[in-house]
Amino acid sequence: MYGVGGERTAVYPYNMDFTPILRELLRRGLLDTDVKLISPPGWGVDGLDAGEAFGRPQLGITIESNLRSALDSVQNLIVAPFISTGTKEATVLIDNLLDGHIHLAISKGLNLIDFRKHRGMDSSEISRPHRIYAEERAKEDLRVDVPVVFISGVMEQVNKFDTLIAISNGLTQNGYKVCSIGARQYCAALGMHSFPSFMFEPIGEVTKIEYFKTFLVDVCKKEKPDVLAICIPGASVKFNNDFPNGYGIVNYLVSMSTTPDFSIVCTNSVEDDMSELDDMYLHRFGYSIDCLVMSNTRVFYNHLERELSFETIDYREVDQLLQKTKKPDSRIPHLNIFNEEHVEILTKQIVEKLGQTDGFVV
Amino acid sequence: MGTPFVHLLQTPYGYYLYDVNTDLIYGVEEHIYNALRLLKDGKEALLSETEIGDINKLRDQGLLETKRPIRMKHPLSDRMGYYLSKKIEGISLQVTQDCNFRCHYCPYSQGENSSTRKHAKRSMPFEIAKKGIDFIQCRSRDAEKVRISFYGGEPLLEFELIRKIVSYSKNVFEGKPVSYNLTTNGSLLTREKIDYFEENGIQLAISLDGPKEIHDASRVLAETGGGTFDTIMKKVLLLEKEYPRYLRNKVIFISIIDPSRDFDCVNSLFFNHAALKDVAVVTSVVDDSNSTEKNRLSPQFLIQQEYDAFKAFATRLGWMERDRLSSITLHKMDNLVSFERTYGTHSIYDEMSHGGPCIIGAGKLFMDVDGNFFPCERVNETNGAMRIGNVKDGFDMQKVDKLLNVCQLTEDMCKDCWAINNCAICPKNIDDETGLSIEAKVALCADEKLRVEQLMRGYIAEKEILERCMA
Ligand code: SF4
Repeated sequence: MYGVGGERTAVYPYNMDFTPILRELLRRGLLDTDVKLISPPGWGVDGLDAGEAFGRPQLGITIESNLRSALDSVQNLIVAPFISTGTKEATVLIDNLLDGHIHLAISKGLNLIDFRKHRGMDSSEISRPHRIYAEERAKEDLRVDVPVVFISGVMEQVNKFDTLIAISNGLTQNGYKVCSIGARQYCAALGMHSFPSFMFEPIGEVTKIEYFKTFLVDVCKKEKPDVLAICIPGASVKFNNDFPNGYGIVNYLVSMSTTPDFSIVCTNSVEDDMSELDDMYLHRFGYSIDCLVMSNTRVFYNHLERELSFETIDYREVDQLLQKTKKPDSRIPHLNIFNEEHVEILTKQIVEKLGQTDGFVV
Repeated sequence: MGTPFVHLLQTPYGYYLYDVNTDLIYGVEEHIYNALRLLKDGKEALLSETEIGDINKLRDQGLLETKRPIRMKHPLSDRMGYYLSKKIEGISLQVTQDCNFRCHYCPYSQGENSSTRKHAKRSMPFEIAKKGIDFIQCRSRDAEKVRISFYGGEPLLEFELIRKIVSYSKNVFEGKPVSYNLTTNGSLLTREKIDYFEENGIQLAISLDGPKEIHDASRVLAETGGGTFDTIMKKVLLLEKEYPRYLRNKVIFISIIDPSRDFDCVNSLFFNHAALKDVAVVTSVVDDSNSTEKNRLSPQFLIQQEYDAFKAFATRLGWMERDRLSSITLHKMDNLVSFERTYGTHSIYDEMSHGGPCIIGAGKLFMDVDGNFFPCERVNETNGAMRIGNVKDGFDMQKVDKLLNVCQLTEDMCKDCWAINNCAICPKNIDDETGLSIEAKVALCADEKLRVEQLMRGYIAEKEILERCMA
């Protein structure tokens, strides 16, 4: 609970990455709708709806920018994680600002809930013994014996986390126990596991594959889910020579650890030749695409400045785009994760497809 | 066969072809060079069997493609709505049109014949400045950081206004990295002002054109017409003595070079004066585009400049220390470095533009004392084509598009121009006081191609020198 039943909560600095968490906390009743969402004035979102500001469905809460006055009317302060996708300078600036604000909040006797400190079972303290264990077991024939759903993205910022939450909820509502592994550390705040940090350490690719497989087996053993949903960090393909996107290495490593029974790929381009992308997934990662989620971000490369920019569009525009580019004979459905009907379709498809795997009851 | 999209170059040591589609330069043998020349000139029929064979071999290697752009269109043309509503990266504020100097080359100082505005005792009301800051604040959501610049006239005539703007923008932009800079003639600097600039991390650009005889020849006081060098140097010494860190980290000197003068003499100040050792210097030749006085180049200047260019090569090859080069030459060297950085990375797109125009309105937005918008502070403020909107009504998207798509003025020429990957003609250079001039652009093309070719020759020369040294 983050402030319900008379206690009021403020979230600072409210940003796009926090939007799916906020929506989920509200949905689960862990946060009241009288929550105050504060973004620094320099971000230019003051006065906008918390969902609409980032192209998502309306949340009915207006973003404010005056934290000092907000602190006088709340009992809890949620510190939202913020990592600038651009300069480090912006992240450092916010961290410095936060220090002052946290000080003030404490001096006012507020409850501090720091989402930056949320960690899943794989955070470095926990994962060290796990690693030793993994080393011992690496040679055993480990198998993830739970149906697996992968969520990957052809670029960064393509609504993967929103998709993970949407399908977890959809499947849970259909009576399935879902174990989710999110790409970000703070997803632990929603009871998910965060993606293991050893996947980004210099420990050798083979070791990473074996550790990750062990990690999945352990998670499934411990939680006994009906479905394991894995959101893969980063992008799966190179954008161009200037922006190689890590060459999709993490996607490859994950695909070597286990094979998905259902694969969702989040993308931001409607012009893509999807059969080409599907072939690439099949040949590079060993599995086909079952569903494409069209994100509400557009990416644009300016070859004169060699600059990549991301533009957030309204989720309703995604519906229009999908309508315009509809390919009725395509094997792969194109969906909008912010459209509730589409989430239902997606959930149904996952259930149907997973029904073909052993032991999954439809 | 079709005409390959190439440019041919010859040096005393070899023959080269610049292949526009791959954006690479290749050394070729003389007979192939001659054959390519025939092919380019449409004299294909004169080629021998062997020459055709040699040309085909190059084709097999992926060279000599004939692909050219189909249309000239800036890649951001359809995205300007986004850039101007969410990604404005800063604003330059003309805090005053007044100046205590009357520099001879400054277009604002020139009489009635000058095509641009004149110095005037007009300052920006704080309310307009606030509106300008607010305007970009809600249109910079996707900009990682913003830049606020103070420009004049002489902005230090409006120090109190600057203080108010900085303090206002600090509140408005809390949470977003903001950098501040100010371009000044330096004469009005005081301890109080420097303290304030240092405290607030404000970067200064001070104009200083060289030693006393050179500086004073053009940079003179408005009231007496007397030289200004001694006054500025006093401020420089103050900075050196009491603010050495600030001087080295946050101050740059802008040196405007008059090419009718002695090149070495211009440089000597930055070489010989203890206070100016290791300071950052940016040099450029007098911009005469809006001026009644056009540049003249002295033979002495040319010879010394060429000698310095030779020293630049020696530096690049590690034979000489970089710090023995003049700032002018260092600047030229940087151009070569940036040419090399992008060398081989350009491609020919069906729809493309040559370089040059910035992201009009989003990159370097300039607002005059009345709240009118211009693409940057260097354009002619009296030319309506350059006025791209104002703080009250926002941007005039048609004008923005026109300036952005300056490539379309000479569409047919550009589509077939070998310099397209490196051309940097910007709207400012082709302003004819009432709009954009095709004639002015066509006239500039020859210079631009020469500039691009010089860069290529510099690149080739370096390879040739190295090759000979290795041999
Ligand atoms: S030099 Fe002239 S013709 Fe060539 S690309 Fe530039 S503007 Fe076009």
